Amino acid sequence: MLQYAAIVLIMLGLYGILTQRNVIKIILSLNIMEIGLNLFIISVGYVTDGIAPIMTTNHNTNSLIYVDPLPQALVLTAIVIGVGTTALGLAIAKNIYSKYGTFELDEMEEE
Amino acid sequence: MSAVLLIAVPLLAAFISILNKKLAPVLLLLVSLFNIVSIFFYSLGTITIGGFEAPYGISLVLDNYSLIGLIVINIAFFLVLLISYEKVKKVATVLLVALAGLNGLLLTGDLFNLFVFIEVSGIAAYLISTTNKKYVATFNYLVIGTVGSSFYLLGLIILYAMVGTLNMSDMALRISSEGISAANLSLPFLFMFIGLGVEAKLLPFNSWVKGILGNSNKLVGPMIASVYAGTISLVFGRILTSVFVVSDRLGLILTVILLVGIVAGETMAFASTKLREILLYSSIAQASLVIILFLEGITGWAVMMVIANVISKLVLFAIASYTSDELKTDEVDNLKGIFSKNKIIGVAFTIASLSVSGLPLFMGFVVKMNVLTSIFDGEDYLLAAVILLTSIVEGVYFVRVLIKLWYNKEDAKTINYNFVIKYIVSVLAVLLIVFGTYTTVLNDQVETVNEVFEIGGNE
Amino acid sequence: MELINYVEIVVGVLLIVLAFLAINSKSLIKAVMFLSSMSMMSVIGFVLMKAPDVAVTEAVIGSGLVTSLFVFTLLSVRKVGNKA
Repeated sequence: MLQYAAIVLIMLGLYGILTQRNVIKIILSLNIMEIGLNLFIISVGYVTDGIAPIMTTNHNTNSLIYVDPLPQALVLTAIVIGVGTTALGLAIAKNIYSKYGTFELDEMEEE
Repeated sequence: MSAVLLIAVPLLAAFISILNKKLAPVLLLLVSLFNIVSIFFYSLGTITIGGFEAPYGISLVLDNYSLIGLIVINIAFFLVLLISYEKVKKVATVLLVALAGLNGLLLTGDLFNLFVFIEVSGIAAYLISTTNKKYVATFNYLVIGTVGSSFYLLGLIILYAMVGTLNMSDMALRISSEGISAANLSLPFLFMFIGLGVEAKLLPFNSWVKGILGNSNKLVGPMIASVYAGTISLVFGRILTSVFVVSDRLGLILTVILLVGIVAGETMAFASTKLREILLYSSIAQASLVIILFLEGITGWAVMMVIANVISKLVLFAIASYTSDELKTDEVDNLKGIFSKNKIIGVAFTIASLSVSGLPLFMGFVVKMNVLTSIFDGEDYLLAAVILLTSIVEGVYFVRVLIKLWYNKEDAKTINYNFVIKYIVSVLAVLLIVFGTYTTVLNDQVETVNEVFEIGGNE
Repeated sequence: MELINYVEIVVGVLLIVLAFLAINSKSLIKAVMFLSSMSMMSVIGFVLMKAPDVAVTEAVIGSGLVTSLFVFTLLSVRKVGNKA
């Protein structure tokens, strides 16, 4: 069920990137898209009635059904990369503000 | 020594360079030089990382294809550093990360690792482009680049759900053995095509190029247009030749889109009056042409074309960006006669631009002729006609620019090019002539590249 | 099992509504708050899909660090704006 929500989130993020003209809003839409993407990746590895892929003293046999751990490792990397891009985008946004005095792309004078 | 040092040493140096800002540019030059020298000592083969065997762990692939790419890209990177040494000081750490990312892109044999390196080199590229001081253009680049790599990740994960592996060679094997049809592969393929197409400057996804390269200084211009573009083209080539089987119908659609990209790029270049804009539109057309060649399966000569582009774009963008840095303008009309005062620079620029448009004696001619021969062998006359026509258009606008720039005028502006850029561009220009006349080297390299894909390939 | 299905539906609908609000709200700081709460909802989604390690990371980095980055940017910009 959640993968449908994830796809809608990716689409909403794209909609935000395309329609918004505010620098902060565009970075925010990027974040929404990334969250949707992360949910989608996790849902790819989900197995119905599976358990979390962590070996504990309670579950230490191979006969149990685990969800696929590889997409989770991918998402951990993707989250960190996403934070890096967001931080860089916000730094550039701050530079834009100190140069033009506004966040709105339409109010900036084209050069 | 194993080739992982090509990635590990720049990353380590990047961390060290944070500690000592003054040492950072020197460290950058040393590491870049170390990379160039050490490439020649590595033995070919697959390198497993962390002790996990190939389909399970991440592996780096060093074959003749990636070896050629590594040599060209590392040397070009070093030359760009020398040309723009005073700009490098501020972004030395970023450039070290960029070097690690570019080497990783060429070496990796794992699709997710490729995504990580796209992001690493992409973030470095955004930071390098901030030295233009055009923050809105950099922001556009960042947004488009991030959306593109997100699309790449989406395609990647759909592919993983279908095939169940991320290793490139393993994926090619499983696609053929499990009989996954090309129609089913077209969705993830298109997503990945979009993601890589953003970085490779293909037509519908390249609105960032004008903002970045149209205002480029002498670091950003050669770095993005020559080094980055060459790397991404080679990555595209690896994915198109060794992972995917493109179905005929999809291949036709992509070829048409790319042909439109070539024609549009050349037309825009013909119409624009600014030196850097002419060059950037021409490089958009060249990028589309290279991807078409990879799609058509002319892998060896496509690699040679990438190399010819790296060399000639390095010369062209270095000279154009240096000139417009000094004069604060790049309207061709304002630059009239600058070459009559700087003969060496002028000759190098002339050779590089004529090589791009494919005149005899130069490397571009040899590449284009062999490409056309193999296209005529495949009886694809439309493609050949478009390539020939765009070559003529290219020749016309380059000659038009050259006439204006060589035009002898008394009040022409004088620019003092420093001796580093003079030496580098003249050596590269001589290299273009050498490869253009002494073609056995190229033929040998083409054969070694083609052999790589005949063994593990899917033809 | 029925309960989990209902929770999934509620989380999914909340995610979409919060994302829409974040994109379309007029005030920037409100938009950032909607993004933060959306991130918390996605944490619940990760837990439901049996990925507790991702959930912890997303709660700390996605919801905490990213929100604080946005808020600090907006605050520092407001200071610059007052000076000018």
